[in-house]
Amino acid sequence: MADHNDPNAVNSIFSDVEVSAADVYDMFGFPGPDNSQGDRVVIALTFAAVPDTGILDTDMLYRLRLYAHPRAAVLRGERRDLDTLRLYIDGVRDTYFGPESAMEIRATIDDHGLATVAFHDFPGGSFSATVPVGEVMAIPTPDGLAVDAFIGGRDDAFFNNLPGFFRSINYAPQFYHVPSTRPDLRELPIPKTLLELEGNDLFNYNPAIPDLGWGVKLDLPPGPYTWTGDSFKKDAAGNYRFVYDGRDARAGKNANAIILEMPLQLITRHPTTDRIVDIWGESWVRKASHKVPAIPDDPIWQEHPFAFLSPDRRDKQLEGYKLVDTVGQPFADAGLSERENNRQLGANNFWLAPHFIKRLAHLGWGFGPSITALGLRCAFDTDNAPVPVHRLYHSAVEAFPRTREVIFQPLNMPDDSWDVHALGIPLRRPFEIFVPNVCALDMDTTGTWPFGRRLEDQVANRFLSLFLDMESAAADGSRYHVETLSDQALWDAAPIVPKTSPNPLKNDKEFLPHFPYLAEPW
Amino acid sequence: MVSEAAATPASATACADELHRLGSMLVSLDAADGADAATRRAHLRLRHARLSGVLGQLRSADTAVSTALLRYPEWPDLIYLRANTDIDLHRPGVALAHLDGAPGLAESPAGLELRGAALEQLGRHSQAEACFSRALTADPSWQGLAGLAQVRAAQGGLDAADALYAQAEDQLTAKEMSAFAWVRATRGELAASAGDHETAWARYRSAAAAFSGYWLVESHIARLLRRENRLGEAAAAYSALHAHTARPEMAQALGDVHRLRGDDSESARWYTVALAGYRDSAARGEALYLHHLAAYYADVAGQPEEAAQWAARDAGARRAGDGRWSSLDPRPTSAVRPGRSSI
Repeated sequence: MADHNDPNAVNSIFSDVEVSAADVYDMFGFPGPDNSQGDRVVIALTFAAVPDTGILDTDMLYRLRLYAHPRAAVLRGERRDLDTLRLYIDGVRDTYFGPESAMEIRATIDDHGLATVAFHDFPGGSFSATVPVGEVMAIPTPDGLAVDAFIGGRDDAFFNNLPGFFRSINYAPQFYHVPSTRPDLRELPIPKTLLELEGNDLFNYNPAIPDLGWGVKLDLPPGPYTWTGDSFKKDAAGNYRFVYDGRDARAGKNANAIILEMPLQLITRHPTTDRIVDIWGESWVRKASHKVPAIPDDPIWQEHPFAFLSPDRRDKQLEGYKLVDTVGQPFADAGLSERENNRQLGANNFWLAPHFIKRLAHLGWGFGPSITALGLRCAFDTDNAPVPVHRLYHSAVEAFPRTREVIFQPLNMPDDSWDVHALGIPLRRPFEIFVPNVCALDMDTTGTWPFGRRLEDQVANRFLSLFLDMESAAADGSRYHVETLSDQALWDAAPIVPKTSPNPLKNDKEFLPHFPYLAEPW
Repeated sequence: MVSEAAATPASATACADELHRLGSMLVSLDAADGADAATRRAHLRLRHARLSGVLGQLRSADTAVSTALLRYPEWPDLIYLRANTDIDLHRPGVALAHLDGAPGLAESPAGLELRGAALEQLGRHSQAEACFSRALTADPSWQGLAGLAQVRAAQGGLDAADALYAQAEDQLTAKEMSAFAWVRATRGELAASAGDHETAWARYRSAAAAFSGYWLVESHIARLLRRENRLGEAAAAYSALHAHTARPEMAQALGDVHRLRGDDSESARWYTVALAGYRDSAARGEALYLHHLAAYYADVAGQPEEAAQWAARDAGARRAGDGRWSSLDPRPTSAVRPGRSSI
């Protein structure tokens, strides 16, 4: 769910959409473990194992983009308002962040199972290499450096209780055959919730159909598709029922992956100051016109004279491909952009900021009352609503006051181990994390989310923790942090069943301590 | 039960491979129950029929949709398929009635595209254009672009139509080669209509290379061969097409070619086959070949009064809400072009 089944064009949850090699899953980025020769950057892009694990689609082009820059300063005492947010967005768009000048790595596969990996616009120049799929290779660079590369099949490194998340947002296609001609019947207008709602029969766990949503689907029953109840569901012992059950929906499943480890000095001439490496990935599928053996009779410049105004169109290779999917931050597309095909913007998601505010407010009205019902402190202002509310916003201005703290609060970390050199690196805030939509790896940290993304990070729980109030202290002085929802003691003490972390805390296979880090495929 | 469609063997052409794949998918659904499974089965049958061009399969798909709808009358995707087959079988009035009965569908981009296609078949071009424009605003799909192109072509704007088809092509990926072949061949037909045979041939060649063995591309090629007076090649092409699809219009085209070659007896033989096919269709209550009957009696038989009657029936059937000959309104209709429904 980090980016699985996003966008809808490749959303194989729908019965008429086949699993596609264009469905990029996750973007990982973290510092390499051995920095004895200088900092090293590990990046891994995973995507659907189509046509098969370790066999890549020859019609695809995968694009990894990188941009290195210094860590931005945080203004002390900044106001938490829309003007500040606008200033931030203008700032990252116009000053330090320049995705149009980003370096990029492209990978394509030929009919013989050989991958061409092309590095464009790196400080030392552009270069390329051909590597066999499924083998670890060292690619020499013009600077005399080396890039470790692996392209092929691995265990899917994502571990997640996917049906639980879909239950929480009443996402019907995970549980029901939803007519493809009725997109309005996908996320049904029932309040989002972390705890089951009394009478929400469409989505509450049904012991008679225990595998509903886990491979079993029913035809969507006739409506109504709304909720008219006024309470959470409780069992005889007074326990709430969690919409999650902690199982790993990706257990035993594979992905194909592009995994690279490279010296930071390959990415920037200023590795001591450019400590942030923005990373994002894209999938492109070959256009039909470029698959035809005969050359099309109408050159694109004749028919689309304005095409060359777009930088991407200037690129001859990309003219032959169509962008399908992007991935930077987990949940930026699948959770906040609702998988819309036209929101696959990659790093350039600035115009989506108002939508994020409205979406976070919509989610907050659902998750907030669930959090407070469990006795936890919530960052979203629900006016003490006792049960979740289904509320949509048409204006970010209207939504913002509710979600102000969710957007601005610094996300506490469980301890200081992430700040490797004890530099006092500022904690990240959600608005910085999701705009732009990149994995912003801080090379002075361990790269754990949100300072990058390590394989072992339980990012789904961390995403949910955005709604916890991380600034108020408990009586003992403790504060919530991004790992709070992964603390089993919390669930043991809560009036809830099952007593489990929402999402699994470990991958189904041990990761490797060395390159290529992702586990062998099943 | 192994279906008729599933029995298609794999062969050397891309189209045959795709037909085989669709047939296998159909078999895999044999045991599935429910509205979604019924929809998928009917959809696969329709896709198979469109790709194969076999008239009997199109009728079977139509029946499959009707049967599924009897069991699941409220399922929106089935209503969508119903409207699709209505358009395939030249029942635009019925298609509009079905769309009107499914408001959620009617306002979706897919529904608007279907409405546009139906209106275009009815010759209501400005309304059709409005539907496609609205659909494109919500979802700039290749189908919407191709639909709008078809309207522009019907209005005589061949250059504008070609530009729109070119945009539609640009939307298509390597996973949609049959659709690409359809668009590219349609552009070839535009070029041929304008007398630019060189461009037409180039487009047909690339369409055939993109998706080999596709009857629709082959029929465009046969037509151009006839235009260029390459009658022997045209006869061979139409003969193969008729053998494959059993479509009476292929028989009529073959009769035309033989007439041009001066072989009156062979021409008469094929005209008889064509007329029998048209009349059989009409006897089934289908609207599909009424306009062909009108053209046959006007152009081949030289019976203008009979032609006028069939034209009137065609117009009535198109406009009728029940798809039958409910009106004898002699309103002329535009020529029917292969639409997205032929994909």
